[in-house]
Parts: sequence; structure tokens; C-alpha cells
Amino acid sequence: MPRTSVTDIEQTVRRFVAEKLSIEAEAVDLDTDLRSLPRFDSIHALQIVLEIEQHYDIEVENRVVFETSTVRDFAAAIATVIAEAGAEPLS
Amino acid sequence: MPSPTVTLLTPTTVVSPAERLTVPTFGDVVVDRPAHADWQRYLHELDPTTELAAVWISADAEPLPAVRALRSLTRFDRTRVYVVGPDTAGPVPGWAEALDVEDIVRPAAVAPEGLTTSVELALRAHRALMTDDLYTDFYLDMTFNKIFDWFETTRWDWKEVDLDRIEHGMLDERTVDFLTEAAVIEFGTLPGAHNFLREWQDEVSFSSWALQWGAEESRHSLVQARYLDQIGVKLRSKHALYKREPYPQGDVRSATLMMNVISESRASALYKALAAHISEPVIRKIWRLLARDEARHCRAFSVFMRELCDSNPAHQTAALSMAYIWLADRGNGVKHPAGMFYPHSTSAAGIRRIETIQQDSVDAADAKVMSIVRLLADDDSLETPRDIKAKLRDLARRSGAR
Ligand SMILES: [Fe+2]
Ligand SMILES: [Fe+2]
Repeated sequence: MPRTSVTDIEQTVRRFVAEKLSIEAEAVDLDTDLRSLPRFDSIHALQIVLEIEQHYDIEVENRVVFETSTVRDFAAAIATVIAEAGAEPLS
Repeated sequence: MPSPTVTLLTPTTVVSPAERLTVPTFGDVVVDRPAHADWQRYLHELDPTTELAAVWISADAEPLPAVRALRSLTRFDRTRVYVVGPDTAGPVPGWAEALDVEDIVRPAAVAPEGLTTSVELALRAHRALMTDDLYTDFYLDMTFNKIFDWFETTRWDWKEVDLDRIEHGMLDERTVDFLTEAAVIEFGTLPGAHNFLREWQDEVSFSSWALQWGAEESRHSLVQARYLDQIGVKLRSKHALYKREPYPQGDVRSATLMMNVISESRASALYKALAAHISEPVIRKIWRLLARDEARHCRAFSVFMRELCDSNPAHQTAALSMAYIWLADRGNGVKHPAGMFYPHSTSAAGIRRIETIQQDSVDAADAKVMSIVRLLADDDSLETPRDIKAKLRDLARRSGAR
């Protein structure tokens, strides 16, 4: 598996979030609460998680879908899963 | 989306070039005028993406075989057919109804002055049929008719509830609290009914059943409010009025249905738990009847949901996503539309208190939902919300690979 930095993951998360909600990636700040974004709801959270899972070939826990508040937290949770799956994320 | 096409078939051997017509509310429409001798070939070779909305067949062009040729192809089952002839006064011939001919019209209807109006009328009729995803030729083939008798004959009768026999000595504060909460939660079904009719406004089958469902749910608040009244507790109407605000309408019908499958299953389990833990016989009886109603509702919603999901991967994905969201996230207690959409009302806390009566009742309800999910996904291996998520990943991978 290629080495993936947390910054890369953050950018990927931002891109997926922006795509799913049909907004500009710039509007998705690292510290924006995802719940405050237009149209964001549990179904979108699930869709974003599914894309991330597919992209990195990982599986995240249910609570990541429901408890994540910002891109930064979300990316950190993904980085942990990737690390546990064997790759070493750079920070 | 390509413009709809309409076809005028007259007894000519000349193929006229396709024209365009602009129709109010529909915009551009393609008007084909194929040669009569070419009719069969025209129908078979029509581009598969073409939406043939209507045809006008001249009475001089042997209309009967021409209509039969069209109707023999299932892709044109919703195409509206008009026969054009000078003789429109007599009774409509039997074959017209048998072959779903919309009308017999005078030649003026397809003359240049009248064509736009005729086409608009035909397009409206066609659109009414096209907006029904589950179109059936005959009314009684709709699911509403298929489940009606079962639903009708399993409804409880008010005679089964005798409010004069309440054993007042067996009631305590906790029971009255549960009863009040349950009555209030049930008020949330009314905006649910408003939304069903809005979300399904262009169809007939589910909407007709939703009226029956709504009628049954309205009895759930009423019977509990009458019981409360009998024991000296007056339920304030504000609880019903708070819930009249519409909540956001769903955007995928199968997902809306899944949400209701789950909340009905949970409601049934909670009423069952209440009936099992409270000894006063009249309320016990009422809760048993309501538990049975909610189980019937769950089953009926699942029938309408599966009908949408069968051979429709987009609906299947939407329903499974909703199942995941509702089954996986019980961190803050169970979700219920009534609790989610009316934070200023007491529902959410009320459901939580009722839940405490028997902690595993929601588990039992959700296990039932998982069996519905397995049928829906046609996958016996699904046991947990996590399995549903894996299934969704799998479906996404497969649709991406296509
Ligand atoms: Fe109910
Ligand atoms: Fe119900």
C-alpha cells in the first residue's frame, strides 16, 4: 500500500465531501463542522464514508459515520484505520 | 432528456420529414409522419431512447391492425393512442377499450390549428402514466388491491376495548406517564401522513394504502387519550398541534419506506413490552392491539418497499443506506421520526423512558428488520449494520464496474 500522509487524507476527505454536497472544496475548511454544511445529513455521511472505504480499501467503524464533526477529525480517524491496516501514514 | 415524440399515421405512402412543435408546459415535441406501409418497421426501428408519447391513427389507415401492432410491443404500453375519423358521434367500439385507445377524435384535432392542443392533452395523459414507477395496465393489479383484504380484516374493533372496566387501583404514575407519552408520540403520524401524500402525489397504490394507515394511526392517539380521560387525565391538544409542522420530505421513496419499516417494528416491540409489564387489563389489551397494528404496518410498508427495490438497484441502495443509518446509530437511544423532527416536543425523551421498560425490546424489533433487509438485499449473510455497510460497498463497487 502506498504511504499516505494525513494531509493527503484530509485533501481526499475534503474532495469527497465537496463532491457529495455539490459545493466548492474551498468551502470545506479543515475545521468546519460537517453538520453545518448545506445538505449534510447521515445519508451523506454514510456515502462519504463508503467512498473513503473504497478509496483506501479499509473499513471504518460505525461510530466514525455518526460521530465525526470536522474534516480534521474525520481524516484522523481514517488515518488510524489505515495505520492499523498496515500502512504507515506520515504526519 | 430527449424531446417526447408523437406520431401521426395517415394512409399515405410518403414519408414526411420529422417536424418540431412547441407545446406550452412541455416545450419541443418531435412530430413523426411515417408512411402507413412502414408502420411495423417504424415501430421496431424507433430509437430505444425515444419516448413515444402518443400516436394518432387515421380511421382510413386500418386503425385496428395498426393499434394492435403498437400494443404488441410492451415498450409502448403507455403510449397514448387516438383514432382520427369523421365519425366520432357513436359509441366507442369495444376494441378501443380493449386496446387502451384514449379517444376517437375528429380530423380537426390533427389539423394545423388543433394539433398543439391535442398534443398537449396527450402529453399530460402520457406523463400521468410515466410518473408511476410501478405502472400496471389494470387498477386491480396494484399492490393496494392485493393487500387490502388482509389489512381490512385484521383491524381491531372499538368493541374490543371497554373503557368502563378499567381497574383504577392497578394504575400507578409510571403507567400514566407511558400512556401519555405513547399518545403524544402517535400524534407524529399525522404529519407522516401529510408527507406520504406529498411524496407520493403522482401515484395511486401506496397513496391509497397510506390513507388507511393514517386512519389507523389516528385511532392510536385517540384510544389512549380516551383512556387517559377516563382516569381523569386530559391530554392537551398542543401536543397534536406541535406535530402538525411538516418535517422534511424524503427524496427517495424506498428510503422513506425503510425508515417507516423500522419505526413500526420498534413501535410494535415497545407496545408489546408495555403490555407485558403493566397489569391493568384494559390498557394491556389496548397496547396488545396497538402492537399488532404496528406489526401489520411494518409488514405492509415492507411490501411496498420491496416492490420498489425489486430489480431497481438505486432504490435498493437507498433503502439499505437508510437501514444502516437507523440500525447502526443507537448511541443516543433509538431514532424515531417523531423524536427526530420535533425536538421541542417531549417525544424523544418519552421514547427513551418507554425503552427502559424492557431494554432488549428494540433489539428484537431490529432483528426483525434485519430479516426484511436480508430479503431486500437477497443476501442471507447479512446479520449486523456493519454487514449492511459492507453490502453497500459491494453494490457501489459493482455499479462502478458496470
Ligand atoms: Fe401507531
Ligand atoms: Fe403504525
